Amino acid sequence: MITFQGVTKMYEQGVVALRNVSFHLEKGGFAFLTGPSGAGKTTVLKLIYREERPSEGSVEVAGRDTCRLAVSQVQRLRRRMGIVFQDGRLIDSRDVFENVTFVLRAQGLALRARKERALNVLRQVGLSHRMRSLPRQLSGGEQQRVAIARAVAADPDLLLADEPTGNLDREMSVEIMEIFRRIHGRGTTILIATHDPFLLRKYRRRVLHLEDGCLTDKGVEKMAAGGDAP
Amino acid sequence: MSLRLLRMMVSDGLLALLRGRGLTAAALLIITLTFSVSALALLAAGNLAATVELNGRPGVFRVYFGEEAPDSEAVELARRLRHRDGIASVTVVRAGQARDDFLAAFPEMSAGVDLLVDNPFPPHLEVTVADAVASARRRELRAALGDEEGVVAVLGDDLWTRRLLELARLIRRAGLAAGLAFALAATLVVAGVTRLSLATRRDEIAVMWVVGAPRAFISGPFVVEGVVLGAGGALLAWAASWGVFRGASMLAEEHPLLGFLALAPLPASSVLFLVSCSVVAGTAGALLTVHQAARAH
Ligand SMILES: Nc1ncnc2c1ncn2[C@@H]1O[C@H](COP(=O)(O)OP(=O)(O)OP(=O)(O)O)[C@@H](O)[C@H]1O
Ligand SMILES: [Mg+2]
Repeated sequence: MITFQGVTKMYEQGVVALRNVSFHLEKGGFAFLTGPSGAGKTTVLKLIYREERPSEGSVEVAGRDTCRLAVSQVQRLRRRMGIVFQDGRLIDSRDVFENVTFVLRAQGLALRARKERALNVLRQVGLSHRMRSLPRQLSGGEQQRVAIARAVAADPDLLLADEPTGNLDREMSVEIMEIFRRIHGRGTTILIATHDPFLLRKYRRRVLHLEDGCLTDKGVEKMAAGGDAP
Repeated sequence: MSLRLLRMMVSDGLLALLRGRGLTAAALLIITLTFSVSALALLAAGNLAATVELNGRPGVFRVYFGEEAPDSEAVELARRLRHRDGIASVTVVRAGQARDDFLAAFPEMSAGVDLLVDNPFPPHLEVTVADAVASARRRELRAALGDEEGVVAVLGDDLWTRRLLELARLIRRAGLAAGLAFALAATLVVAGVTRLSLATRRDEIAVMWVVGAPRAFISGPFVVEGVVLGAGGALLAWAASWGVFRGASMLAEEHPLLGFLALAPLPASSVLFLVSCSVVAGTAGALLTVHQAARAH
């Protein structure tokens, strides 16, 4: 599903966020992306949904080099992904229902079907009673759950989640992970960037560990074993 | 493009216009005012031309027959017309007589006229309309005369008539040119509105973009906004011209002195011209800006 080959990412100011990163995540796979703050986790995800392009190397998603895609193809690819952004990125002027369903709307789903879908995913994150609230009327954790609901609403082929449980307590984190597991069970490929050693311990999955922009094996065992998260 | 997507774009566009009421109203006002100038010029030109044609020689129409027409055809029509409502008198000018009249007026041309093989002075009728006949009825009468068998032209012609007609054509051309120029202005107005609209919805658009909303879904509503602003402005300008027409008609009815006016609203072709100009302008204005913004992504 995802193949990084010798990917280096240098931002404009000369910051090198990733150095020669190569990995492959197969279709239907489930992996955690870990590493200290600033290690490049978000950058990896941005390269996958083509918000950024690699400075060197190539990023392949669903068998296609993301650098060779036209705008409309990038959009089509993104529609097959569910993305939970680190900073939420809810639309402030739209209510929860609209935030969760506008991509479905763009895909031509009728209102009735959208309502059904929204109710379904919002129920899973425990927010079905807040459909008509605006994001600013929700707590940080609730906003995060709306973002998760939006990401899974369209039944994506690939789910990218950037610190999805950052603002959530353990109980809620487990519930969210159960949602991810459920859609993984239906064939969705999943990549979750996280600091949370609890998740790594509880869900023993493949771990891609970044240190200062490099993919390493160091620290993985430590984190998975429940040592201090950086 | 699916019908559903189109419907979505329209409803989103209208919603955005509604949300930005103040801006929408201001833009509409500017576009309406500019297109009103064009609409009024076209209205004035049309009515001037019609009035001049009607009044060219007050009360007298000259009804011409084809070159080959025998005098008998003219005599026969004259006989029928004399019994018709609203016609005061009919004089037949036979082919030979028309020639003689011409030579009497321009004796120095006789040599030239003698050289002509074809008779350039076909028979015609001079139809005098009764004074009481209103201008609208005169127009009908004139049209009816034109429809008679063998008739090739109905004129009420004079030099000043021709000059006024020329003036009417000039005003019409100015109106058309103004329409095109104002279309350019409307393009800029719509581009400005779209830019503001984009700016206020920048965050929203960024999110839609990054989760994969298709381009048409994002930019469509802005184009709808532009089209609605443009078309709305042109239609309001049309409404304004209609108001002026109604006002003038009422005035003409009240004052018998104004009975000579041949008043008509803006013809469909002019309305179509204005609306197309404005729709093209609105679309172009919106697309231009949206395109620029999309390139920035
Ligand atoms: N747009 C940008 N321009 C310049 N530098 C950037 C940009 N985005 C990220 N960086 C830098 O790239 C490096 C990696 O950033 P990234 O966001 O990928 O880290 P991260 O692992 O997600 O961190 P965190 O756990 O804090 O979210 C950091 O040093 C960051 O400052
Ligand atoms: Mg990050």
